[in-house]
Amino acid sequence: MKYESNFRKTVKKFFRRKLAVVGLVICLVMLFVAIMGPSLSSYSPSETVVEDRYQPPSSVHLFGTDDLGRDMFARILDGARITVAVGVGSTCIALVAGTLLGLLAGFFGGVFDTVISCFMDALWAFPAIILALAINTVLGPSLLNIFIAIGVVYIPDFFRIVRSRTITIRELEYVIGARAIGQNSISILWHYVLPNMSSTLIVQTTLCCAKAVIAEASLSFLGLGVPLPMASWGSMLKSGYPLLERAPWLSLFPGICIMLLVLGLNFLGDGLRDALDVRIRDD
Amino acid sequence: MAKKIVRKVLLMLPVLFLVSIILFTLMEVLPGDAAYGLGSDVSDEYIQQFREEHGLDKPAYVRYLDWVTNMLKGDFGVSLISGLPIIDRIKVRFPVTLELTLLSMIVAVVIAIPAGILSAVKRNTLPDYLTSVLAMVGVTIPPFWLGMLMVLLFSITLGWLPASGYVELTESVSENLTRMIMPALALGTQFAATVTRQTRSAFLETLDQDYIVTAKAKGLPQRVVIWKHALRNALIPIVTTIGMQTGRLFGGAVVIETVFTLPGIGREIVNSILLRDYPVVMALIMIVAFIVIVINTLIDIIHGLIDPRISQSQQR
Repeated sequence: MKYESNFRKTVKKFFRRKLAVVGLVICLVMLFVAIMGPSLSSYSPSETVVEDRYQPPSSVHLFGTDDLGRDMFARILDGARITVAVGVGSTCIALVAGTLLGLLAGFFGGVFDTVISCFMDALWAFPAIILALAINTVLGPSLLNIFIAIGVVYIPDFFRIVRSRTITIRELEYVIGARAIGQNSISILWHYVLPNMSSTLIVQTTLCCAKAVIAEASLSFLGLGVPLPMASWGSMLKSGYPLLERAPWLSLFPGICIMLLVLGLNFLGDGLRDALDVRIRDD
Repeated sequence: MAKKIVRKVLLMLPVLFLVSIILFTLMEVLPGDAAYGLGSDVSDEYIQQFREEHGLDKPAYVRYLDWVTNMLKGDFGVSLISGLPIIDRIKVRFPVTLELTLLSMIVAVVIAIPAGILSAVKRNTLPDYLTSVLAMVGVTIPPFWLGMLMVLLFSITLGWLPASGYVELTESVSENLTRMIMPALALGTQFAATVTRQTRSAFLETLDQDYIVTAKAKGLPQRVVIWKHALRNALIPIVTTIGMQTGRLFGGAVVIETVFTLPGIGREIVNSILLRDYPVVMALIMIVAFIVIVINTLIDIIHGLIDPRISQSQQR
């Protein structure tokens, strides 16, 4: 019963924050768009109509048309799939790998901790885009490889947080108690340590997702992102840039969408942080 | 304290070693070596000769050791594509990236710290809301897209600034700055937004402290309270944020240099990756990583130096 009341309190606290609700709505809309994709538009994202090239935004073509006469609104809907998929997919990789390594390093300490921590410091020293570029070049162009390249880059973010939280939690009485009644390490990590950092992880996950979206857009802009014929919002920016003077809408709309998504994720992350922080009380 | 500093500096060594290992391994597993980049119309004999000349036929560990020992001697090797020493290219490219990152830092700090202070001092008023919204937008806007918007506004629509190209600082300061100001702003906006938010929250915390209340109570003008008493103490977390963001600037420079076709390190890395010119890629990334590690270590040391003062002031 107590758990539910805590949960309710958190939900109430969350919904009292206007920006957090705005963030949640943006994220849900983006997710909906990504799932439904081009079926939300009467145009096909790949259909080229030569006589409709470079149409500015109008009631017929909401976001205008590109150099091949394709409807930009349909393309944006299609691109949402890739962008959201990369954001979620790479964050999942960073979350799982970073959490696992952080738990083990923090809990067991010793040589394992030293080696992994050093390795994470080394990964951390590479500027994100450069490391993702290098990994992606090694793995070759594919959607899954983009997940991995961006995911690996953000593993140290999760590792550092989880490791330091684990070191604190492992000294707490209930963990010592669990050990005393003969629970094994894996069970302690899973049942006692991990649940106690879930709020930190939830916040970090939303913020990491935002960073991954920008990383994907940057990679695609450099021409080393998702392979053709797939198109993310980032690769649309790349193809729109040389046409900036002739058809600025080709660069405007994908950029606005990326920014909205990142903004939504940041609002959501900040809102969750406040709502899950027991030190902050609204009443 | 001296012991701690020495320890922190020594800790850089294993990290640098691991960076070199990760980098070398990544380049090692890249599909195809530099001979692959010569194209399909060269003969097998030529490829063989090319590999022998550049030591590509030696075992991996030998090449790794050669690479590291040469680098320690200051020899970064030669480019596989142009045959020219890499150090010469670094000398030409590095100042461009350095100028870009320094300019964006200066622009960012000059805007961000006063904006953050204003926001904190005028808490919950229009200037505060405006600054907070702008900072939020600044944090979320992709830097390269901001660069594109700037080109659209200042180059294409208004015709005020050139959209691309680079003129050396020694050639013409004004020409250089007209070409660097947009890239620096585009790169620095995210940085500025983060510093603004950090300054605001650090100031809010500081303004609540007893010594600020005392300073106000004894009748000091607000200007003195803010700039002399509050700023000095709020600066600590701000400096940390600035240090942490510097590494990110180097990463951001890769994309910004592509948007504005600046001949810096970032663009060189991307081009060299595409050309499979490994020695160049490895040398450039190693240098960038080295700079980031040194900056991180410096922040750590500064933290250690100011920590005792913080705890003492809290005890008083």
